[in-house]
Amino acid sequence: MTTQPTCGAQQPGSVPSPFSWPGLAAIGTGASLIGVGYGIGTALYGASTVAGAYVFTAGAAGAAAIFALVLYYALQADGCIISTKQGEPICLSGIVQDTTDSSSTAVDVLAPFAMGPAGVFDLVVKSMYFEFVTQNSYWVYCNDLGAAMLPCVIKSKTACGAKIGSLVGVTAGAVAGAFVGYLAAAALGGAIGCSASGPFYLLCLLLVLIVAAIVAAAVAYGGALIGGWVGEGIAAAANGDPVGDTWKGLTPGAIVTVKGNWVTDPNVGNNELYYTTSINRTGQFATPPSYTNAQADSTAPDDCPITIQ
Amino acid sequence: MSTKLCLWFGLIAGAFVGLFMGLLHAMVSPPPLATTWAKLALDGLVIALIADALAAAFACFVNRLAITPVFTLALLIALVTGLPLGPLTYHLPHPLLAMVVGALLGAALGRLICLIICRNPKTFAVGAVR
Repeated sequence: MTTQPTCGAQQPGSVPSPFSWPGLAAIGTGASLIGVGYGIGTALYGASTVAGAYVFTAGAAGAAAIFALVLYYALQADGCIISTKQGEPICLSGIVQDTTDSSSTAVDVLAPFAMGPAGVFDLVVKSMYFEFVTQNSYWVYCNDLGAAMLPCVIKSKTACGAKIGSLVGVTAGAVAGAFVGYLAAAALGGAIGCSASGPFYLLCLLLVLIVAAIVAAAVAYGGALIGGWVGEGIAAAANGDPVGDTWKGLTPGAIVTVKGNWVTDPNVGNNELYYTTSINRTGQFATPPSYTNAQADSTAPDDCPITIQ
Repeated sequence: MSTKLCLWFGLIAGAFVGLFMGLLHAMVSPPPLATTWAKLALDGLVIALIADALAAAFACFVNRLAITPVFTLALLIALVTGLPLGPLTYHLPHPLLAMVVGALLGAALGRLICLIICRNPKTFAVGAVR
């Protein structure tokens, strides 16, 4: 197949998005934890003060929300706890159009559990590999010369460690947070003393509940952060990352042969390598970007075992 | 991201409004003062605004979404969920039941908002097209 692919939308309709099992699991777990918090609050504080059980439940809700958030990211199909969508292992070659570093220092520091892939590079493919770009896809990326490209996603070396660390950290943080939130709210309630005859009685009580939830959520989030940093550090020290190291050295114009798991992106609908498992750099194109598929064809034959006709 | 964002904002706001109004009801039962619809709606709105503001801030930070449209959407969904769900969930008999009802109705209202204003599924997906 050597016909130049059409850029952009490939077929009518939108990409069929799979059901969000991580979302359902996170919501279910969060709701269950709030129920557990209600039971614990009633058992611990229900007899002593009427409001105590409810304030504790509000704290448990804040902590449970953060736990659910961390769990949602931990259960994504990114090859950490849940394996990636199983596509087809393929090999192809072409010229690197551009590379994008998807990592964010801010996210690494402030939300390590939400870390995504390390980055992505767009490969202007040889025309013999057009099928990998177009087959069953809803979208085809092209550069400004209209050359079809296949995004190749690079797995983060530290994301998995950060996610598991955050999950451990938020478990401890959520338990501590529920109690700290209760104590903070009780202190606040005692200090402001909501008057049952005042016009803002409900709002005053609501403030106490909100403080319990926010303090508990902050403590749980702190636990997730600390756990994530520790996990990130362990992963950074322990794992070798040959693909990531090669990717960091890639520049536009690099001639490469790549291998990876060939899937269709569930959000945009383009085909891609998720993840790239091997990058073999075989040369460098002399001119700056952009590149055409014909220029990719003009490079030396690759060592991929399968040829698509 | 697309319309899922509306669903999440509605669900989060609705669940928190339901739970907190349910807890509030349990705390003041029997109520010392007559509670008006306006007071309950105000309480629901406060909870929904806080919940959705935090959710929007996190979504923008992690997914690198455009701040203005996402916060506008969050504000709109907080208004639409907080005002009616505050009085409604306050009168439910148990806080956990109020949370579940609030979450379901909030998700439905959030989805409805998106169906009306977010016709283009990639409206909020910054960087979806390279």
